[in-house]
Amino acid sequence: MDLSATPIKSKSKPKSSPSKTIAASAAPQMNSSTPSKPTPRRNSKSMASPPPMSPATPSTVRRSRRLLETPTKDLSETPAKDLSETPVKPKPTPTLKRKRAAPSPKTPSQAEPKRQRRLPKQRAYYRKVVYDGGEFATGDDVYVKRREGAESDAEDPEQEECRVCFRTSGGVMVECDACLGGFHLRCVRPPLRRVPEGDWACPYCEAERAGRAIDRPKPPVGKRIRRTAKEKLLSSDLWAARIESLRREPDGAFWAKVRWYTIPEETAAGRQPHNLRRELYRTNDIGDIEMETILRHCFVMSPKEFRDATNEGDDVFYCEYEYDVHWHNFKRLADIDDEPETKEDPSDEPYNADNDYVSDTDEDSEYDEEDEPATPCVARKNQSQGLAANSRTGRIYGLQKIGIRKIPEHVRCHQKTSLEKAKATLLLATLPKSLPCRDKEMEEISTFVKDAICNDQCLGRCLYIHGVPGTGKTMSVLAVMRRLRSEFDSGALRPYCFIEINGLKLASPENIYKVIYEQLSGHRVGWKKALHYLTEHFSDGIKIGKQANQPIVLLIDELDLLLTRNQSVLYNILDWPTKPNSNLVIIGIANTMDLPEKLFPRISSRMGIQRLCFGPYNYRQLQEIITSRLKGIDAFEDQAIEFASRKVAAMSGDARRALEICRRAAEFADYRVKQLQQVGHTPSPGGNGAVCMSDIEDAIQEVFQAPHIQVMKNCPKFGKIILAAMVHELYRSGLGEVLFDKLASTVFSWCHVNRELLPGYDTLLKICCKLGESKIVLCEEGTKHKLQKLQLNYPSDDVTFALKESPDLPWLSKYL
Amino acid sequence: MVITNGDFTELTQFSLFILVEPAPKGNCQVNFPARALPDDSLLQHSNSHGGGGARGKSSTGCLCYPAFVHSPLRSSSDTNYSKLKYLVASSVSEACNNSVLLLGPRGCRKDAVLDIILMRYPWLNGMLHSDDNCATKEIARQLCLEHQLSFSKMASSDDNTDFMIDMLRECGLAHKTVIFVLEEFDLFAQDADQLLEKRVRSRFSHRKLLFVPSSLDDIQRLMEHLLMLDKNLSLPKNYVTEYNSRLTSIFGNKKFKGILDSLTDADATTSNILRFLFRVVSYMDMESGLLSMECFTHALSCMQRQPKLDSLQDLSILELYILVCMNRLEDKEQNSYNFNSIMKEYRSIQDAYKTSDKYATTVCFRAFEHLLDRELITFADSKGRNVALEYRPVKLLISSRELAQSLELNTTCPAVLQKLLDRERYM
Repeated sequence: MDLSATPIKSKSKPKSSPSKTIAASAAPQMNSSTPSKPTPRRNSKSMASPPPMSPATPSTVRRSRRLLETPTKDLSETPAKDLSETPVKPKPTPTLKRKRAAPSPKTPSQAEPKRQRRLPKQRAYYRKVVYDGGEFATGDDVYVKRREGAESDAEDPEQEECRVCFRTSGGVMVECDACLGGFHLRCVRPPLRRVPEGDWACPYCEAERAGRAIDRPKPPVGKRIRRTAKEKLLSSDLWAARIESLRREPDGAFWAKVRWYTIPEETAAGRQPHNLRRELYRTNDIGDIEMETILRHCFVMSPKEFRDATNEGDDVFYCEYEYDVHWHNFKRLADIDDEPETKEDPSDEPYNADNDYVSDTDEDSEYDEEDEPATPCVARKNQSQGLAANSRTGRIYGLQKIGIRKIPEHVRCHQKTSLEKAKATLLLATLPKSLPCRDKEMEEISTFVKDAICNDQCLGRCLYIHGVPGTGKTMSVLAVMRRLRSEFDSGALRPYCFIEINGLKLASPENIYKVIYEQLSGHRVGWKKALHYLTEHFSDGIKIGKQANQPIVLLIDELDLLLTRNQSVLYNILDWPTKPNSNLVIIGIANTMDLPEKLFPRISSRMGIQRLCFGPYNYRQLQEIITSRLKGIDAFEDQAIEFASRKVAAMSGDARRALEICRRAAEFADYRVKQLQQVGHTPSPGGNGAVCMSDIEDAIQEVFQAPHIQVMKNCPKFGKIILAAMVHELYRSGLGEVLFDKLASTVFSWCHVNRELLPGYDTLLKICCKLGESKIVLCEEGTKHKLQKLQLNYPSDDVTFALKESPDLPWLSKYL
Repeated sequence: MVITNGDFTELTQFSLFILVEPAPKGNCQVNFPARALPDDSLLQHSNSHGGGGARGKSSTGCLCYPAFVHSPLRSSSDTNYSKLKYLVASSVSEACNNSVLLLGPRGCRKDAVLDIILMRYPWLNGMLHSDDNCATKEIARQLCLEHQLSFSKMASSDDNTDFMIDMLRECGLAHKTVIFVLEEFDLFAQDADQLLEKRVRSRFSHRKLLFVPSSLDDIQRLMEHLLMLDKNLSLPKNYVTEYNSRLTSIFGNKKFKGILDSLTDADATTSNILRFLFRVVSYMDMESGLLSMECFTHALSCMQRQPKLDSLQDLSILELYILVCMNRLEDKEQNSYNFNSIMKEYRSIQDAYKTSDKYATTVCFRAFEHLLDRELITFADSKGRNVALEYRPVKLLISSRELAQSLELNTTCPAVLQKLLDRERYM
């Protein structure tokens, strides 16, 4: 462990800074991780730190060596147990007592009588549960047993033993920043007078770093080193997790949904030089565990909290990144400015206010009453500092509340008709069970990727996939990747790293470097820096992280959006695979067939020649796609499907469009059926129920028919005359543009001849502007008045067609 | 080419992408908050309450009350209203994604229909939120508001995007729908329907509801609905009967038909009709409290005002001279002229006809400036801002037809002027 590893030196800062921050008096608010009650009760409890949760946890001395300002206090009170509690805060003791007194009878009385009481029919969700003497709330971090019945889990030494004398008591201990071992101040050679400022490494570590071999003291024979929960966690004998939600199953068992933490050693990248000893990664892996397996609380802190933490005991961990267990990459958690408890909504309402679950909260309510007066201001404070839900961290807390709300009764008991079922399966968002008609292409993609990653020496490669929208390009690639993923899980494939990027979601083309780098390393840097690192990674062999030896599959959707003026982004990205040992495979997807031809030759030559074309579906394929989705649902007439697929195949071959047309047709049919039902007709058997040709026709009409003809047909009378006059002028002058002055005189003369009421000049101008608003004509702004230039926005034939037979202006057709 | 395209479509695509496929997993829906479900009973209530009260005081009140104005929408079947309602209701109850495009000229009650169906919705306006960072931020803000979550202004656009997707996924789990209303959609895209980029169009679900101006019959029905007094109001019985019978006779009158025709010839949108009715009611005779035919004719002439013509009426003789000179210059196909050339023309006229309206150049210049201020004439181009006023080329902003018309109407206008204009050519 080289703490001075250069680039990451700053990383060790947060860790080391606690020693600089001298804040003995600042009562640690941190471990009050019971977010639900923003009341003073929490404060008092927080002072008593861990005790309520685990009676076996008297206190924590080790970190107290950070209390530099009050060394006398620390030193004088040798019995470590009461050190943090008694002298500093006399008050909590009663609370503590009551708390302690309460749980012991309560624990049984809570779990069992409840079961005898009314058992809830459904799951009940809780905000807070007192279980086995510990109080667990959502958002708390806990240790979780890893092995069933391992006896060493049972012992849970609160205090660590000195690494020299192997005793727990005997004065203030100091923690080595390198090996995390504890040492009595007096056991260190030379003895320390007080806790040193800044980083401190024990003599043994110092020696190791200097390259000298030195024997660490061995424990006396017959004495086993008892490990603290922290050590067990860091040596992967325990798990840590954050409680996401708590619930009781109908059978009365308590379960918790947890989000796991992982230690650096267990990530794909392994422990990195910049990892702190106490660093954990939060994962995106969510598990359901029984409350039984939860050991006790621990405290996982954000960098800032960690820095500010002074006297939190041994169970403190540092967490800056989230680790994606599927793709083995890292994301930085957005900065947590506040303590996690602020996330709760101040009203403190239970998630679902079912009557039959109050049992657990009655003890809470008693506290509530006492604390009544203080509540409002705390609540307000919470609201103001609450974590914003649209920043990354806040989302975790705020959102599941939405998911837990009740579903209206009428929706649940609604029996879906076959039409509604059909509509649901035709949804674009519904993932089809099978992907028909793209087997050949998928096979090709799959061999391409496999070839690239299976070879021991992975050569960089490039594949360009093109095709018109809605032909299943992205879907096929993702399906292939899913399949490969399962092959990897079953062990048939080397590990690889898959990164998916959509060009449209990048704020600017350059941001792609940033995104790639973040996915690889978990760090967020500016794009220039990211480009620098990535270039080093791919061409100079200075790898980012441990998993960098794995092949990387990079999928870039909408590749054409990465085009910049000098095309440098595409150049850089496509240049990487050509470097030796880059291990990079790029799959680019775009609509245009000739993208490589549009690029500079130096880029298109790097793109390689491997291309894959997704042609538009023909009508048989479309038909197959639709029927495969509608399998088992009898809602469509066969020829209706054929008609729709033929129509779409003739126009574009876009599967999305075909599905949408069918769905729209189903909607028409459903609407028709429902209207009939409203009127009181019972749907006639057979005939009306299914989607027939006319529905499809209506849908196609709606999709393909341009609305401008309709709009023109419904123009006010003078609007029509103006349009006709524009066509007339167009033919007369041959110019697209016409001056309003000229147009007006034509209109006036027509009206004069045909005995229409003459409109005012300004009225005419207003109508022109209105037409311009609906983009039937393009016009300049109205202040130009008679100098305004106008131009038809649609072909003159369309106008002629729309106005030919207008009932209110029979004379108009002679001018067209 | 692709690059420039990319810039503006990014937003469009994105917004649409949301509409169509909010979450990769799939069971999210196009939206909406449970309490904003179409609630007819609620509407009925507020309607009878507010509408009735307003009418009790004056008829103008109810014209401004949208729920009352648009209540006939709900009774008719097979309208855009019922179609849209069906679409929203079915996407809510069946949990499917939809996107609908409401098309139509301004004032055809697109918003009104939406307002009746949904009470509240995340709302984006192309006028306000025209770049994508701003739009995603606004969506995030409104979603936060809806669910009482706190919102950070500082969050980056990635964060907001992620939040939006997470939120939609979460809403999907709760079987909740989120309805996005993108107002002034064409400003997100370039032209609403035809110009959508192909990628976007492929993802759009192609439900289009076209709103067109209503027909003459509908308009008349709407007018009756709005103006007729309800029998069971707390007004004197005989007043109500008298008022209604007067109104019926007006509606039956041929002259009224003519008024309605000339109104709808220009603009038949509902908003225009409402504006007209408001004028009508404000011309009501306050003594008797009854509407007469005059109210309608007055209102119509109000609606058909010609502002340019009106401002021509108040011009002085000298200003008219200047305009006529300019008109003569334009007739001579002299495309570019300035104050000095106008003055030359003016002098030559004065010399030829020896009128009493000969003024010094400074006076003429003041009149010229006045015309510029009234926007009856304008500078031909925006170049040469630092050139002195009298040398900058100018142009007429009124047509010679309007000029001739106003000279005819103007009683103080000297005969010479009309002769100069050579009006035979235009009339």
